[in-house]
Amino acid sequence: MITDYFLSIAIMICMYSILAVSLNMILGFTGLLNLGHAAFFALGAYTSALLSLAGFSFWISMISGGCVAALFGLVIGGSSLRLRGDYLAIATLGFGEIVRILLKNGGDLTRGALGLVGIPRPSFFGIVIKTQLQYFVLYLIIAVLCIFLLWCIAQSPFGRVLRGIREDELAVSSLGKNVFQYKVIAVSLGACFAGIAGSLFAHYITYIEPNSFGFMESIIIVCMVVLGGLGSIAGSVLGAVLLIIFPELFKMVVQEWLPVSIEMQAGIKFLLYGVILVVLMLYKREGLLGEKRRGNHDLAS
Amino acid sequence: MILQVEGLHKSFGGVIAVKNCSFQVEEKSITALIGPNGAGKTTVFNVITGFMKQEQGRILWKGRDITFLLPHQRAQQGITRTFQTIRLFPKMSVMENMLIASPNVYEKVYHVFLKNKKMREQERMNREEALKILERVGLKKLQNEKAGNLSYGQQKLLEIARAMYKEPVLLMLDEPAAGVNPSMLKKIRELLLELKKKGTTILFIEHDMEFVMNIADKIIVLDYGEEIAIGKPGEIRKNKRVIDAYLGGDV
Amino acid sequence: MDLSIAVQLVLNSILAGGIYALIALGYTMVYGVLKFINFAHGEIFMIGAYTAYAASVALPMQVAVPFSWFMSILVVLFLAYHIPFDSFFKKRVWYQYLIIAGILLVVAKSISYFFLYLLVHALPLWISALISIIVCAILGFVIEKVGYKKLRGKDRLTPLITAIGFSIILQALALLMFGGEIRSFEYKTQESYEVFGASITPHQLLIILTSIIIMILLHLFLKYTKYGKAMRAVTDNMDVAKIIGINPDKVISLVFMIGSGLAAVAGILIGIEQNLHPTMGIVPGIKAFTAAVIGGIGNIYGAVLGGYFIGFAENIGIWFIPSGYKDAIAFVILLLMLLLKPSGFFGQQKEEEVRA
Repeated sequence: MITDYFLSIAIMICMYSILAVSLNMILGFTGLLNLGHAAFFALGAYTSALLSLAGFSFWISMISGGCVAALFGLVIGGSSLRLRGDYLAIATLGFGEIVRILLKNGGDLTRGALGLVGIPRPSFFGIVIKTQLQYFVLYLIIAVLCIFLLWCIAQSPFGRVLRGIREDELAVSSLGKNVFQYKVIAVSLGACFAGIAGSLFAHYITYIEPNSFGFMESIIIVCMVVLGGLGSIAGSVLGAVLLIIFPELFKMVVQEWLPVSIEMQAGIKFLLYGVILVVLMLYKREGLLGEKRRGNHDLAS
Repeated sequence: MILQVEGLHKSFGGVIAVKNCSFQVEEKSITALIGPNGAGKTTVFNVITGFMKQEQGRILWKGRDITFLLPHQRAQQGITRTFQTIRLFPKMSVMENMLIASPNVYEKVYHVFLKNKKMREQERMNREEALKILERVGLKKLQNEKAGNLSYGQQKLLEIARAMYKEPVLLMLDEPAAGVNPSMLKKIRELLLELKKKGTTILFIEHDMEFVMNIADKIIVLDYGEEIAIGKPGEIRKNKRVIDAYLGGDV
Repeated sequence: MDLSIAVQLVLNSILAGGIYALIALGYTMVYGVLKFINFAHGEIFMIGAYTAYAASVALPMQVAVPFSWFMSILVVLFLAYHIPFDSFFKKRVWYQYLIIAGILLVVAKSISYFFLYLLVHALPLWISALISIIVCAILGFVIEKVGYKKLRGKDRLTPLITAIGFSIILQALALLMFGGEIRSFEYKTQESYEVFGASITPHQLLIILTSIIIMILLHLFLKYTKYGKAMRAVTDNMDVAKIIGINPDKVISLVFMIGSGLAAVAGILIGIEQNLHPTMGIVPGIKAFTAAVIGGIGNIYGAVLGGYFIGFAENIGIWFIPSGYKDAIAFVILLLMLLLKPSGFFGQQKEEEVRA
């Protein structure tokens, strides 16, 4: 059905919005270019999938997914944040790949490359969510809640310190705050929400396997955040919307004229992401909704 | 004395920035750290506040060696500073700049959700406190203005206000008078004298000799990383080594 | 442990190690000069493999046409960089860019016919290898000029993200031009020789020997030629090098071209042994980066040692743990290095620079 198709896109937008905003929390506030963000996504997905398959309710699985991801966020943040800019990014890439390999070789628990199948659909007060419309409504609510929560965090005294860190971490340090601790918690928060997005993903597609959480996934999310502008929650949402809708539009338009195989579609999508990243970096580093940075500030402080 | 620097030695690559520097800062006094450009004054500041690590030497705060304390820990001890290149949060409002400085107990993550009365009470008190200080420095009207939009002199005042906010034991100012017009300068001087009366110890770096002579109880002179003279303004004014160091300049 | 198994392990290690070393050299040289990690380097390795494959196989038209365009556009961009276009126009007119673009396109189209001719025919391996090395060197040059030059120095992350962008673009191009299915050079499986009980094919022998020879050549180049010495000077201290009269831009271009050429060689060597797919550059790229870090990034000889170290670590490692974790070994080493000793074992960088 046509509307089902549009609804499925909208659902994707909901999930990726949460993902993008969660990465923005990490990249925008701590400057950690997390090239392994998909790992948090994966951990949330697998944790909640396993719990659901074991009989727990959707909500418990979702929260647990977030918690497990948050824990890994603490570990990864705690170790990587001591490094400098580009080394830090590579370290996160390493972590991301290790998580993926662990999932692939997880034996009976994760069923390796076969993945987990038949993840039960979420249920809400007894109603099982089945149709695209139901999914959309539920996920939209969850997405709005998550983003609102993150916004509240940004406005709170804790968030105020984070925003200060983003602008000038030396100054914050000179005011007596333990910058490192704040950064680690920010990473953990970002990881938590990525994990929640992961559980949403698992319960929608009802099938997950390690390869859908690879390096390219992480890059797509980075692309969304960079496109929307660092430090801007609205920007990340916009980035998610644009980067999901545009390839679909492109597909529809192109398919009128050229018969393009699925492979080619993927290729064109990746080409688009790569070109966007390069063009953005060369001409508009701050993204669409980001702010122009001062001369002596890095992209990531 | 509240702060003691002993035998500090710091170099960058092959260049020696600070060499065998020792001095003391008495409690509730105003001490000036002067010297020609490149003498190592800001480096000394950075080492005292923990932003750089010295190769040799100790820093004693209230008698304790604080060499192993991290910058934020030293700040928690009551040592606050301003920077030579003003380090405010330009995209945040004046009030927010002040509030970040508040020793807020409710800044942890979980406090985002536990919005109980105590938290709101503390936030309200912090604001009031911040307003009081802003009023004292004359920035109250600008409390919602983005810090980046302020004039240079106003930004300097804000940085000092922010440093004052926590009622520091030792307030370290890096060139508070630089680039500031005479009326603002008067304000800053009055502010510092007021703080001294309230019991704050002040250590500052400056090039403006008139400002220094008018306000300092003690002057420490650095040249090429070494301290070449310590004394009262009157003594320093006549000190030959100091005059030579400044090439017969503004002393 | 059996002698034959030990010998097999050593041979496998030297094999993999040589490949990693070749790729690592590219990373380390670029870092030495620009203090920048060229994330797209692994993809140059991949393009090297594909180019050699394309040249040595009778490519069908639907693949040959786009790839010939790819090659000719690279060549045209390379040549265009060296032509001072501004001198042709007396004053700045808006349509000058259109004219230039038009001319370049025409030239590209003509050149593409030449490449098309080459690709459609199956060429001997050594010619394909040469073509591949040249194409990759040009590719490295173009990427540097288009993407990295403008972003030099300012902050660390922007160029990194740009490099990631290029990495994706290259993978996408490979996917679009060659498809995602796995391809391989049409070489018949070979008889393997017996060495102390271990088996090794002539190809594998070729890989081992070629890597070693190339590295020796590089060493000689760096030590004795004018350009080599210039490269070492710029790596050591760019400002002083500029004062002596070395043009850093030329040296940087040279570094990229040589590094890319080396990656191409690695790609060709692997390509004839194993299968090709668009993502084949990612994992070797990261492993090679790990090798560069171990040796102290910026240190060429360290990178070589690092490459062989990873080769040995991997192959000895899977003796003890399941082979599914083979790739993870390098990643774990990478993390340990970054967290514990980021300046590597022979590195020039002071620890302070790398820690926050």
